[in-house]
Amino acid sequence: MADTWEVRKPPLAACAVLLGLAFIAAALGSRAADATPKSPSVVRVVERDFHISLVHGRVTAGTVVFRVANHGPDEHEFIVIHAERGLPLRPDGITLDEDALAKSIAGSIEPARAGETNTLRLSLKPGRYAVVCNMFGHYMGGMHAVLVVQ
Amino acid sequence: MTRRAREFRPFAPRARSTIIAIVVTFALILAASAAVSIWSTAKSRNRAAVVEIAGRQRTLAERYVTQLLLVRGGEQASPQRTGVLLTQSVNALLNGGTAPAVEGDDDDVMLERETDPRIRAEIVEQQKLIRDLLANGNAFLTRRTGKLPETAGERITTTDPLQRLRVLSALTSNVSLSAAREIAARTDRNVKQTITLQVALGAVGILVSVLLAWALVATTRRQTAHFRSLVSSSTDLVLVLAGDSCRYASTAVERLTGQTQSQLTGKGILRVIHEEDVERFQAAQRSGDVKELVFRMRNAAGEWRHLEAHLTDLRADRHVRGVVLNSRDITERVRLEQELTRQAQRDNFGSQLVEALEMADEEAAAYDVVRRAMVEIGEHTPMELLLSDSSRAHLDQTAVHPLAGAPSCPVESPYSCVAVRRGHAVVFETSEALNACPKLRDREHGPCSAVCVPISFMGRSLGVLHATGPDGVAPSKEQVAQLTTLATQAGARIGTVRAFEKTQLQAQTDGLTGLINRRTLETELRALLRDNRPFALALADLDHFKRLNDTHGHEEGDRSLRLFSHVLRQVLRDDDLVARWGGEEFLIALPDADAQAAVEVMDRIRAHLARTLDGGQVRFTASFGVSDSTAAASLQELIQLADIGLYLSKAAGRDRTSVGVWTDVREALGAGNGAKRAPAFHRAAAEDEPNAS
Repeated sequence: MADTWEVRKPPLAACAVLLGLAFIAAALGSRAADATPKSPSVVRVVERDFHISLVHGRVTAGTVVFRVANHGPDEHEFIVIHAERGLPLRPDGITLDEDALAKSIAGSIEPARAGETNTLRLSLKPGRYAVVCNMFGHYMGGMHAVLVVQ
Repeated sequence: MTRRAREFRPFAPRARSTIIAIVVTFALILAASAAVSIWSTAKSRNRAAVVEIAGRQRTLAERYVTQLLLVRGGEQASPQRTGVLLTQSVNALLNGGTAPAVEGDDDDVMLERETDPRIRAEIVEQQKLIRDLLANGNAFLTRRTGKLPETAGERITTTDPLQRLRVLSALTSNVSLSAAREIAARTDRNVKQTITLQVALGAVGILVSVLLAWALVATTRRQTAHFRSLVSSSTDLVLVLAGDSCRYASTAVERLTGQTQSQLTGKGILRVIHEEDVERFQAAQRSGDVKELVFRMRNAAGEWRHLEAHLTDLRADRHVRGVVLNSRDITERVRLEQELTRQAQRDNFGSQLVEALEMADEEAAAYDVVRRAMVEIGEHTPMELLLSDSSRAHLDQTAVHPLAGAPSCPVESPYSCVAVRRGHAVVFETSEALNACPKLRDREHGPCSAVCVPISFMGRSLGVLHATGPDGVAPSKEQVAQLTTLATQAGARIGTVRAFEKTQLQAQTDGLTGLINRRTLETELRALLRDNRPFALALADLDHFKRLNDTHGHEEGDRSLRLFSHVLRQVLRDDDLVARWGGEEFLIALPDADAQAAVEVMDRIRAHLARTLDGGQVRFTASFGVSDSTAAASLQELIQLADIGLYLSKAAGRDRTSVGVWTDVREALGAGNGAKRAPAFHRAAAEDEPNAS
């Protein structure tokens, strides 16, 4: 999954260094920053037992940043699937068949504990997307939502 | 910023408090470590059972669906029992209590109430799911349709009861697994935390201990430095001796001897100790009983210093294992004591000498004292006392050391002696030196050392006290001091005796003729009278002495008087007394003689005078008057009678002898004149007296 970016909590020292570097880079390249064509779309996502809420159901194509907050109490994963048609299940009839959907999966976040917030930055083409948690029973239990990219 | 001066406390018990602090720190850290272990273990207790029960829920949820299907298929199964197990187990997990046994699998397990809010939330979720699962299960068995509860947040889209059961079972299973994993993960975290805490405690303990140990080392070092500075700056000389050798010598010893510690330790210490003291020194440290010791140590300049040592036997002390000598340099004290002893001896010698000399009433006795004093000063030291005679031109040997003899200085006159000239004692270490007295050379016994002490009285030189010793060995200060005392005291006494004798002589004799004077003779005559010893008296007078003086001068007159007195002494016996009575008159007393005998003697004198004057001198004669002790009772009368006899001789023509009788007087003065002696009576004699006298 070349275009997925799993984000972990970075160490404090590394944060400080990165912050410093970012500050210097910002100071040096303020003109370049001005040249950025447009800011990416941010989609706030809240996961609970057992449903997914999207603050914005429609975004513009291009870079989309998902801020996924797991409000628990259980662990949940986050998968973005380009789904123009229905989604196939595995033979157990409970979970989505990720192997069959491999080409359609735009990106994912591994299971996160309750209270965590993770960010997923994806470059999405226009279309209809499903965001799901495919942990055992979670999809069927209600953890799926639709995102339309225009 | 000024550095705070540290207190100088060599005996401060700081080291002990530091050690206590280290021990207390270790104890605290051990206690904390044990407490953490206990707390951690207590927290993890029954965790395995909890995990097992939490995990078991997953199986039970699946088993519940299976049993429902079996019952629907007409098989024997008890999904209700499984539902009860699920419900009781989840309640036990949440609030504590007994988790019932699954028949044939395990036993009842007592669980504690879950406290972790996150896990509690998961269990609560599980509880809700089980409730929904059991509600759906009951509906499935009774084939009841309608709205079924969805209390756990799930939104199951399908309405197929079996599908719903499977989804709920899957959710229950998943949530149970998640809870079990969370419980297990938390246990792991606890263990990790415990390990971290233990490591941190250990690190803090090690750090604090290192700091305290460092403080202990610093304190010990400071105390050691304090002691070192005490010992090294102390002027006390400290030695530690063990087994005939030196184990330690303090800085003061190094400074005194000019040797290093390594040179002094071992047998090296014996090199700087006086050979006469080495044996006592070794014996003292061997026995350990000796508490004090005085010995000599050679300093850097090669001088012997007297040390007084206090010995402390610390051979039984495992920190020392030796005898400790604390010594002080008492050389100055010893010197002072010796000086005082010498002073006392000298004073004693001096006072004895003064007393002995006081008892010597004449020169010979004084010389005897000097001889005895010489022996006191030096039994084997040749000495001599050289004194000038009355002319002060010659030095005579007046006293010689009775045992050692005389050094026999060839000096002849006082002013040939360098000591006399200088007026103080002169010491020569060797007669061979360039600046030695030349009179010391070529002595009979070869080269020598010498002392010459001048002797004087009332500022006038009397002579010299001379002593010699072995060549090259200067006499001791003591001896010089004693010789000086002897010279001073002997000079004073001999001077006094000489002056006294001279004064006495002058008082008793006539200066011109050397004969005794009138007063002396009167004393002698009274003694004869008192003893009733018979004697004759003769009064002599030179004839025409006035004319002789006038013609030939007073010198010739004096010479005549001396010649006459000489003639008198030649003729008279030793027992006879003769005195110059005044002017040209002489009184002669002849013990055991009468007047007649006296006349004969006087005639012999006249004859001898005449013979003596034959040599060409100015001629003169003498007239004599004689009496004896039978003629009168008192001395005055006897002399008057002799005077009468003299008068008769003068009246009869001079150069003759007449016996004085009282009738003669009456004849001469005329009858009726009772006076025994009148001024006119002497007129004839007075005519012979010189004008000058």
